[in-house]
Amino acid sequence: MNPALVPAPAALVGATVYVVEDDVGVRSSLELLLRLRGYVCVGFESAEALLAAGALRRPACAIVDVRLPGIDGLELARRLRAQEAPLPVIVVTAHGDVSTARVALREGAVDFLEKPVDEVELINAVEGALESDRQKVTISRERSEIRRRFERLTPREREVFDLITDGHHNREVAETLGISPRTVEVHRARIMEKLDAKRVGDLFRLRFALDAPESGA
Amino acid sequence: MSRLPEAARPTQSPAGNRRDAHWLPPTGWRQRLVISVAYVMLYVLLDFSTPQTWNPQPALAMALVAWGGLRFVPAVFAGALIAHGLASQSGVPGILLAALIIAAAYSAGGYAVGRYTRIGRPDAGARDLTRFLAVALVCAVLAALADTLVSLGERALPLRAIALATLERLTGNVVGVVVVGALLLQWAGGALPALLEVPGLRRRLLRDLMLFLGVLGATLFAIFAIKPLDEFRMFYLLFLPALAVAMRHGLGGAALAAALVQAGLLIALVLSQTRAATALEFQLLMLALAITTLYVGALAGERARQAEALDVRASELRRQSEALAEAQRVAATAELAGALAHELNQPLSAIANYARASKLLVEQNRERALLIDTLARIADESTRAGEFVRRMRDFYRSGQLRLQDCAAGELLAAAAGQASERATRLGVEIEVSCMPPGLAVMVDRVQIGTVLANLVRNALDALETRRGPRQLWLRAWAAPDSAEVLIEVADTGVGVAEEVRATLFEPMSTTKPRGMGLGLAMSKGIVERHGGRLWLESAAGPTRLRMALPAAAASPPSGV
Repeated sequence: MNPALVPAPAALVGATVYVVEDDVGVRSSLELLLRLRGYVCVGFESAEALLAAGALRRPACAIVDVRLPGIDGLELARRLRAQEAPLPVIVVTAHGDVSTARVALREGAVDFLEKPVDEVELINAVEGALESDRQKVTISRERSEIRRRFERLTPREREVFDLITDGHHNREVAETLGISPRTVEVHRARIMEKLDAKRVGDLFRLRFALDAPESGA
Repeated sequence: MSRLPEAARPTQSPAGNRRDAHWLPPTGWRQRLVISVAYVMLYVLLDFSTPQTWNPQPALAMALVAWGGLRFVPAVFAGALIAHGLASQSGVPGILLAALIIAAAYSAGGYAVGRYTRIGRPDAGARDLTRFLAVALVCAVLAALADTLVSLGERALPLRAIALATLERLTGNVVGVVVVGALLLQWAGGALPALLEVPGLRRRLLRDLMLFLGVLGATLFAIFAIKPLDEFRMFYLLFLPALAVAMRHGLGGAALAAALVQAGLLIALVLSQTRAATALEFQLLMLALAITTLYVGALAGERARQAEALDVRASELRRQSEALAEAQRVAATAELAGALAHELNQPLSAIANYARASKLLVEQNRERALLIDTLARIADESTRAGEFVRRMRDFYRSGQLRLQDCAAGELLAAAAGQASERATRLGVEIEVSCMPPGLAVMVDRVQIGTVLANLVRNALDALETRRGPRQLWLRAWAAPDSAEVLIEVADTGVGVAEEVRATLFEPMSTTKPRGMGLGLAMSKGIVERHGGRLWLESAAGPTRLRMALPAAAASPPSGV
């Protein structure tokens, strides 16, 4: 058996592949093939149908035909890219030409395949896209978790957090805010508790995760 | 190895060398000194040897400065000073003053001509000539006045004599500057050498020159030697050969012609011992001739350059429109190919996916029902692809044939007419023949027209790269049984290669860099739908494609 075609890694089995393809034969054959390979596969007959589907299951990727009625594949890639934690898109075309490929990659497609698609290439592309999405989803989850915890801080605690993670000592924080060092210590203990931080170092890590730029955006 | 460059040298490198080495002003002081000394000697010699009514030496001064720049002003001054010092009896201040005025006038004039006109360059026009003449006139007047001023100091003369002497000098200066100056500048600027460097043009110029010299000699003989005729009334005859040369060879030729007329005239004047006053009148006529000839030459040159530019533009435009048509054809072909690829790739994709899925189903021991369903889908998709192919074929074969009686000669003439422009450009001669002339076929005029246009285009493509005779024949004649008409398209191209012959009429077989190879396949299809045949008649040698088409019922059988 071709080593590239071993069943998908356990961690990714159950990952979703969305197929956007107007040709019913191509779409259902692709769905069948991907399901047999262990993916959850959902087909859409148009870009509009996918966009209207609402929240998509993650991790996932989309295999999108370039020629679609209405919104075409390249436009769909552009729109998905504009979303938060964008869904990785693999663009497929029945008459591959260099310029389409270039536009597709510029619009944020992770891969470009030509029909009829070689199975090895297809699975490699899907695995690559899912892997990148899994990382994206993990990062995105962590970030939203941190945000959720932060929302529990009072405005004053937020100020204290900022000053501490800027590198100031308790005494300096107290001076800046016009409160006693003792009060600062109380705030700090509360912050640590609310943010589920064991050490002061954890506060710096959280600050870093918050300030890091959103990947892919 | 070295033979080829040597053979090429006579036409190329001396041209470049000569202009580079001799016709650009010298940069080294040594060369400048040699030229300056040579100039002064020539100037003094000319001043002594030429009659009052013809002064070529100012032209020499102007040409030197126009060509070499202001560096040669000292030489111009030295020449004027020595010439006047030797010739005149007036005092040192007078000589100095005259030399100063003359040198200043000619230097300024020469500089102005070199700087503000294109006289001497191959693209000089009538405007440049006008400027040159204006400068020449001003310089000549200044120099003549300076001479007169100096001679006033020598001895007292009646006013009439002074005026006549001034007029003589003025005329001599102007004629000298116009005739000799124009020639020298043409030579120095490279316009005349350029004429001589083109071998074909040089032969033409030399031939015209010989002819011109003959006519000039004969005309001068007629004017001066045949006594009963009035010399002045006959002068106009000199215009004709000079204008002819100007018309044919532009400003360069005109300058040469005017100079030769001047030389001939001077010789004739000396030989016939003409009086000074008469010589003055002749020189005025000469001036008119020179100016007219130069203007005609300038205008003829301008016109020739414009015609050339228009020609270049026209061919450029033609090339562009052809490139556009070609690009459109390629784009249309690409569009069609893209659509075909898309429509066929869809079912093929589905089939490939289902087949792989089937393989997985067997490997994973899944239920048989799903496998059976998947295999059925493979069959469905194959049918879909087949249907598409049939639809395509029907589409291209759809339009009902609109059969009508068509004169075979007209069909051939129309095909030849469509291709005539390209054929003319490629130097292809198209010959159309129809025997008997009234021969008619029962065909769809448009479709058979397309076939003929296609065959003619193929023939022209083949002839495009052909060296040697380029000929194309379109022939029609009645088949022996008169039920069919035979039409043949033949060319003098290299013929069809052995390996191509077998697949010549199959689609996608092409020897052309751009093309789908559909032309002959399509043509064959069309002819066969008419109940005719299309085949390659020539086994070897030049291509002959022949078709048999049903004759029209009304077609007169041959021989009736």
